[in-house]
Amino acid sequence: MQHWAQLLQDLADKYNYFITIFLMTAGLYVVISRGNMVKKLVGLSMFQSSVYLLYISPGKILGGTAPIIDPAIRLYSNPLPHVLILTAIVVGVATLSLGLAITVRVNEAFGTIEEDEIYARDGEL
Amino acid sequence: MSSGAAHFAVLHHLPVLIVIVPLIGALITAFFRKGSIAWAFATLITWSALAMAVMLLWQVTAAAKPISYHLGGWPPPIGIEYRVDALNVFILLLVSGVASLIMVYARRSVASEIDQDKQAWFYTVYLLCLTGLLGMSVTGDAFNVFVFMEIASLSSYILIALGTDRRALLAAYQYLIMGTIGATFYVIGVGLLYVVTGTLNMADMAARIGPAMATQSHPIMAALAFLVVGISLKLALFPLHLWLPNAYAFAPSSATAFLAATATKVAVYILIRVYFTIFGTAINISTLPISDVLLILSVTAMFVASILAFYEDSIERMLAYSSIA
Repeated sequence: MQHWAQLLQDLADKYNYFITIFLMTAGLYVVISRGNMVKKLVGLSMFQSSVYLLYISPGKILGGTAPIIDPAIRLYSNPLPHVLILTAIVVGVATLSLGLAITVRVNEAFGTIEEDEIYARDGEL
Repeated sequence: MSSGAAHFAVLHHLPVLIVIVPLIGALITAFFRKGSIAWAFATLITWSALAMAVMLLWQVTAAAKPISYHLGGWPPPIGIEYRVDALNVFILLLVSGVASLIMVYARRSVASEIDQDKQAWFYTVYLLCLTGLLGMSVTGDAFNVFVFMEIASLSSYILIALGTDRRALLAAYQYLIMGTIGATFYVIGVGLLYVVTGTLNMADMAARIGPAMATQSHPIMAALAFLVVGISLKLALFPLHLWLPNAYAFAPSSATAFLAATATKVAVYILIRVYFTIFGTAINISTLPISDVLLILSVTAMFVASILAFYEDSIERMLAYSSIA
């Protein structure tokens, strides 16, 4: 009984990490299990987004503000993870758009974006 | 200021110039419409990158200690540091040397494989890829490695997708999925290390991991695992190599030559950096089974990939397997 209470307490305290892990594994699973190229990219995007959460949540302090040098501001969040993730979001957008562009070209060249159908038509790579 | 002082000041900025010159060069190349002009300009840029690498080698040998360059004048733990030492100056030489040599013959090969209106784009992306690889080699900041890794990979996906065979698109897509998973694993590893140590500078990280090991060994071990798997995907270590043969076989041949000679080598360099610079002093690596695992996998890869290479009929795929080996 006490075990379960402890587990629930952990879940409630660290729910952000559980969400991160869920998004990470769910995204990776979608990438591996789906044959549709757009769905794969959606999974890949989810997987990348989970990393944003992984970086941001340890840097945030509840009640903290932006780090401005002012005597009135005592408590502020770590700004560095936010900056890093801004970069990672740009990278993620670039990857997603390049992936979608390649998917469009594949659709023009093969007439389908289902990997099974492509391999059935062209043989295994 | 005398011209002599200005000359000296430029030499002082070489670690960052070797990254910036190809980057700006790529931007300018994108504006050329004619393939041959773009080729001439890109060749000029790659050869100047080689010249800068040679000068850096000379500087490092003369100084007999690593050159530390502070971006924007911010000192290391706060600012990003570019660090050139005896190891990565050779990586810089290798990458820029290979890039320059390939450019010499790329003109005819590109002219026969790529449409006239896309040739300038090929050289643009080629220079971007060079930027990413040089940046990965020169930087001393763990997150900066990720940024340059993505510049290099995104441009290499495009280089592969430019291949004439329509299967080049599939190969590029597969590489994009695998490469992005690898890079994301790398970022997860860096993130965990950042949470534990509170720094992104590699040298700083190495100094702080040792004390942190006593209390927080689990996240550090998890970070090591994520980093090794992520980089192994990039360098196509044996069980994670499946994307590589297709990518190399269907890419334009000058792109294949460039990527085969440089991209995986830079990934090996990053693995060495993570393994020895970041973790080397902190953890007694011999207690971990990682080196055994890596050794077994590499030896297996040498044999399996070489045997597969014997049975491949396409010469590019054969070279790709020998690259894995």
